[in-house]
Amino acid sequence: MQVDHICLIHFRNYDKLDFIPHQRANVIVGRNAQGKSALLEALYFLSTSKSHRTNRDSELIQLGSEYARASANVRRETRPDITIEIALSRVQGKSCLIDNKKKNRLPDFVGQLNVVIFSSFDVEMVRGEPALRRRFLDLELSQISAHYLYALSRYRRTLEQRNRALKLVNIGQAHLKTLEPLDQLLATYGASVMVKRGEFLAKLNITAQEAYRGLAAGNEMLEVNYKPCVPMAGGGPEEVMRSLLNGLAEKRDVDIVRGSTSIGPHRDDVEMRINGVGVRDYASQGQQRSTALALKLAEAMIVRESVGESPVLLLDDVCAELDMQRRSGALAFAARGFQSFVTTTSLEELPVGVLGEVGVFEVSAGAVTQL
Amino acid sequence: MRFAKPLAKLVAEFEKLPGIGPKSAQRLAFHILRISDDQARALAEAVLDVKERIKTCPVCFNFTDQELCEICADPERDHSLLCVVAEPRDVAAVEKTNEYRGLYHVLGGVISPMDGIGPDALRIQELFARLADGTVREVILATNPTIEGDTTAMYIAREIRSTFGDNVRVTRIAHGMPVGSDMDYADQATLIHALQWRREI
Repeated sequence: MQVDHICLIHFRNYDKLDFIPHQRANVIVGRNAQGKSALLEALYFLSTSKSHRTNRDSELIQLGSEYARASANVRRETRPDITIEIALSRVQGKSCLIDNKKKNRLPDFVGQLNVVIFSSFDVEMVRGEPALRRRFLDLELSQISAHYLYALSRYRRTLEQRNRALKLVNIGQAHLKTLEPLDQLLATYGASVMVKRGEFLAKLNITAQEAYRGLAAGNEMLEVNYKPCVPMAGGGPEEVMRSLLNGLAEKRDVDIVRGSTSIGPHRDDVEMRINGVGVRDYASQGQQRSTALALKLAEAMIVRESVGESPVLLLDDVCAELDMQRRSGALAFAARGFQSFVTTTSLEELPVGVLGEVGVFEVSAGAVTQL
Repeated sequence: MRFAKPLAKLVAEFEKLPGIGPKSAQRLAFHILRISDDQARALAEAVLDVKERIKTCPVCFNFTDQELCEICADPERDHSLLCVVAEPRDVAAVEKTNEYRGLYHVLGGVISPMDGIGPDALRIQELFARLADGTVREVILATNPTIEGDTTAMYIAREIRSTFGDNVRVTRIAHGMPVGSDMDYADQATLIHALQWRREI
């Protein structure tokens, strides 16, 4: 899929932008704080209705303005072309439109324009807390599988109820028997979540390995492994459910004292290794960044496979902390049939030739000009 | 502008009602000012009347103005079949179908630790007291398919099995596709549920 027209009004530092990007690769060059990342952010925002940089939509509205508007024409291969638009107002909040029709339910809007973004925030996924890796899993899987989203939201609700019940049992205000149906539900939905995570990570492992080889040619080998909270044995929903039930029963006394549930997919982690060594604790900054990038590129492949067409690739400051070889590896990947937007502070830093057909644009103080 | 005191009081009372915000409360209050005295009195009396005369049935805990509610008192109904629901409004929903001929038991809510509602806060003991004499052969658990509704249904099912064994059949109402609707219009959660609860035909 391709974005062939982007309009921004009062969005971040863009007063008014009418931008017709290249169908294939777009290199966005500019000094700091000119609006390079904001352009990528706008596309991500149109895809997900959220920013990847902030939770507060009001930050997207230009200072001194009351509203902001972002829209894009999207050309798609397997579905009809659409115009996608989000209007933000400080007073009235957010409305999401497709072909000028307002979509009140998020699932009707999200997923119409598919993008995969790589930015400095993604490196945290590799070196930060397990919660960030679970968040990555949840975000990716929710896009691909409605069943996952359903099981996850039921799981979270059950978990809240169970944690509350544990506290009540501890102070003698609830009977142990109250926990039994909650354990059963938690194990049922937990097993659905874990089975899906297992399947997704098995696939991600293969694609991320391949993507990493493309970045760090030579003898570095990336592995991505699921670290589930309980052994998954055969891996079917029934077995995982029993495994979870056993775990919950074993830890019940501890859980009651702590007032929280110590077993379940909310305690899962994903382990990444390069040549058998943990990336989180032992890899160099460049390796950590390459790992995050490889995961994102793998995600793009998985989205392509499940949606049936290529998502738009957004690479924000891909040069940082990566050597020339890895940069050209990333661009070579983007050239494999994706429309891409790549930002850089200087053209010398970017092996633009790898991209093949390319449009180069300069961003300066919220204005975009073709070079 | 501030309202005259009696008017302000009426607005404030309306605002306490569920689903009524400040704007709606004002609109309702102004409406009351426009209607005739008779209409206003009829409304006020209906409010007082309902508080005075509606009680809960001592057997099924549905609302009634009788000693025993009409359903419990009806000898024509099947006293071996019991439908367990969370709220009186659920009784009304099932009754509207005109299909169900058994009795009801209103729990008065569902188990929700987050809201401090455990099994003891519901009329579960009363349910077991009803089952004790062996008249009831089947209990249909008709709580909503939410986490809380499912928790409640599972809790009661376990308790019935451990107390009465095979003497009482326990069933759960089916969840899934709305009847007479198109697959492609069903929301995804409903479809997933329907697939999960599929059955042999």
